[in-house]
Amino acid sequence: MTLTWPAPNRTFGLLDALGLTGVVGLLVARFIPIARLPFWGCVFREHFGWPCLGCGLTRVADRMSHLNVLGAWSANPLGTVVAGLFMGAAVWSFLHLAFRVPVPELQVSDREFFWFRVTAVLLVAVNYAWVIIQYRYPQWLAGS
Amino acid sequence: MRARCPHCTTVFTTDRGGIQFCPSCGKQINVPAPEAPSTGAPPDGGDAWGAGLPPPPSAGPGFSGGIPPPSGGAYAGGAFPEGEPVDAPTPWEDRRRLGLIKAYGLTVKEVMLAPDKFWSHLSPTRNWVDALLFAWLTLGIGSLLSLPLTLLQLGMQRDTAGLESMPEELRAVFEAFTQPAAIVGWTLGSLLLYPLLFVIGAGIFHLLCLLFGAGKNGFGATARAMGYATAPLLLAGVPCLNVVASLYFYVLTIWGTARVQRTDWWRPLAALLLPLVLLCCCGGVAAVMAAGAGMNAAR
Repeated sequence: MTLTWPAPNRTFGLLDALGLTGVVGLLVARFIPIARLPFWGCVFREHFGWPCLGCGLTRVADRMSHLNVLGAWSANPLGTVVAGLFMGAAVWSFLHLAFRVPVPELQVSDREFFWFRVTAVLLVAVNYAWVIIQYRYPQWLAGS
Repeated sequence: MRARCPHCTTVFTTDRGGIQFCPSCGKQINVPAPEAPSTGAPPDGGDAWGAGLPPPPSAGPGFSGGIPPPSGGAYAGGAFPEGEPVDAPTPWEDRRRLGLIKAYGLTVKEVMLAPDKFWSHLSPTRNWVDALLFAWLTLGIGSLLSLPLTLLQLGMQRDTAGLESMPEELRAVFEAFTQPAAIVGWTLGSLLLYPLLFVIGAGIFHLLCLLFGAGKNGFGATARAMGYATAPLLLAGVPCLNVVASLYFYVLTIWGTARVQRTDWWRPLAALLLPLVLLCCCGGVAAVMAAGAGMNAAR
């Protein structure tokens, strides 16, 4: 794994695009009550009684935009981490574009990349299991 | 010897050829080993060109002059004909010389009718803002041409949607969004916000491309492929053909990203499908249920 620091620059790149995504997403979540729209909601959960992979993400965006991190965590832990990363990207992007702070570049070997993907899949699976338990068997969490 | 980075155009001194990191931007580049000592004054490009580096082709700024792009393997494999400048501008990027209309028309023609050639020659390192401007213009023309058709279609849907059977809240939303003024406003608003949406879409798509190992040439390369792939959306106003055009847009996005990132075609395809599979599962289930409910109601 190699981390390189380029010279100070303002070149618009991936981090800036993700930072912009984070800003727009959190602004929408902060000022537009999306969850109150009549057609909003998880059809999968309504009809099958089981949450889907993305269940809780609207609440995460809503609560993170109000800086309610614990509330967001209870809705979807991995979504909270991702929302936090988007917020971090927004801050770094601002520093990058305003003050030429360089964006570090990470280079990983094929083997490291393989394990990164395995970890990502495991994280998604564990997070989904947690969301299911919280929705279907909340007494398990209350007892612990 | 001296070499110039194809990414940041910084000229630096190195004592060896081969793969190494640019000391300025830190990106990996491949400096060809010197073949013969320099015999004369450097060609156009001044002292940036040192011993051993071949002269720059007649390409735009930023060309590395014999330094292949970072993914040297694919490049050497014959994606570009020998002697062909890999950093050559597209007709659209050469619009000052060609003229706006001719440059735009040539680009649309090449993207739609000769995509293999177009993607093979598309530089991954040039400025992606040109591709964004191309996409913006294409979407603008396409949206304006499709506006009459959209108004007509939604007018028909309002008449046949069965509003009285809808829940009150949903009916209010449906009526508000199908007013002609709302449709015109929605179209113009989408056009105004298009650069923002483009950057967000390209950022997310590139992130997913990275997950599947299809982002070696950076965000700019993905954004360029996405921007030029919008050419078929010019046909958004033609009934029936607009469906084919939308599908062709996705095909071109996958094709272009694979070529410009010098990777296999299935990687960008997987990157495009992953969010659809993961996050639109609800939509798919809803569609099936709605269809089922509709069939039951029709009995």
